[in-house]
Amino acid sequence: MPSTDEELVALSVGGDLDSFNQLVLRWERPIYALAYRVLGREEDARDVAQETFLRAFRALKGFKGQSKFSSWLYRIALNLCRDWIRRERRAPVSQVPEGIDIAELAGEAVSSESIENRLARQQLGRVVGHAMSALPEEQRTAIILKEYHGLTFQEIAELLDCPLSTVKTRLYQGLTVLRRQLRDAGVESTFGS
Amino acid sequence: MCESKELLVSFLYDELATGERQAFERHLAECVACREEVDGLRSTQRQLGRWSPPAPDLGFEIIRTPAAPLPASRPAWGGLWGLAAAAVLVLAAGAALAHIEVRYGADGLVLRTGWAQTPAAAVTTTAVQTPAPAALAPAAWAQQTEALERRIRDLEASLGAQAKAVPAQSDAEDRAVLRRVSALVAESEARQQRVMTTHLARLTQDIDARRKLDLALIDQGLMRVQSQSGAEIRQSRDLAQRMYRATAYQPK
Repeated sequence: MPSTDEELVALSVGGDLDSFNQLVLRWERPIYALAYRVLGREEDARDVAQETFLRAFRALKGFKGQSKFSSWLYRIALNLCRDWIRRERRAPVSQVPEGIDIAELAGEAVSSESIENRLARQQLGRVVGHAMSALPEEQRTAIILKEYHGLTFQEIAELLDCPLSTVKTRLYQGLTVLRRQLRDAGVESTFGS
Repeated sequence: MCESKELLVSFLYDELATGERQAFERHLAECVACREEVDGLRSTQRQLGRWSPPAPDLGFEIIRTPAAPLPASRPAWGGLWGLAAAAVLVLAAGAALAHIEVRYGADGLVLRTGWAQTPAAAVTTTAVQTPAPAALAPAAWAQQTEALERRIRDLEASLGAQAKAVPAQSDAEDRAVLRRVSALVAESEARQQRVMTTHLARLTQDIDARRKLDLALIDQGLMRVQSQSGAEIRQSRDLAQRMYRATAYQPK
């Protein structure tokens, strides 16, 4: 039976490196995905994810379990993302390949999905990523944490150090802007539900 | 849309209490605007699901690396005392080579170089303070000689090791001293310049005041001369008139 995060944290604090690496294995993809969606660059997202686990490991003794381990990791990762944005003094980008390799698509396509559909899905993903990168950082982060990581309003409010009502307002405003942008890009009519 | 944004968002993400949720659903059944708003945002949520990050091979792992060996620390006394000993040695050797004599007496500090005195005189002075070897027994003499030789060997080894460490340190120290001296010289020059400027300004003021005083004195002197001259002229004129009158009145 797999151990819970709390159990693995307790073992890690006791010096068990394997337990911590189990936590790394469990959370590396969500943390990478968070960094990627906030920053928009693969390499930067990878660096931020790696640094997040290093910092978590170094500060593990200071983690008293007042929040979930995952929330703690998210906080570290978000702080690193903010530092990166501040340091680079630039807005996040929507990094997508210029050309699409049809042969690669054909190789990756699952049997039930045609190449055309897959291509359309990738293009849609690109448009959505582009629209997300145009949002203000606060709205984008709130949407990422809610939509892709399933955090509750309360957890997001604690992570972002803001009131619950602010989280809801940011979500509403962000979604409304996205809806308009996607509609302007013709996404809703072409690839709608 | 007539319901609050917060309520709508909470409904959208299913974070409403059962009662609130039922009330909102009843409202949606009646309110077209709110229903359209909810449908539109749900559609946007579905589009967001299409944006997925790439799936790189991450495989992060924390690995404990063996701690690097610490550099061998020098003995505590090896730093300052070693350096001081080396400095004394260098000074002593330099003084011996240049035959520098430093003496502080009634006539102040005396620094003398050259070979005016014979080395023998110095040796004699030192020898005075050591016990006379002839007074010791032969066995004790041999023991002391051996101990002395051992001590000399130890000292030579110690000084040799320290002397090797001196060049690199002394280079850095020389540069540091040079920097300090340059800074001091620059500071001194600046201070002197400031003093000179102040003195010059004061001197100019003094000269100006003196000039004004002199002019005033000259002016006073001239006025005095003028007044004196006027009186003398008047006296002379009076005298001349009197003489003229006297000469003009000639009894016949």
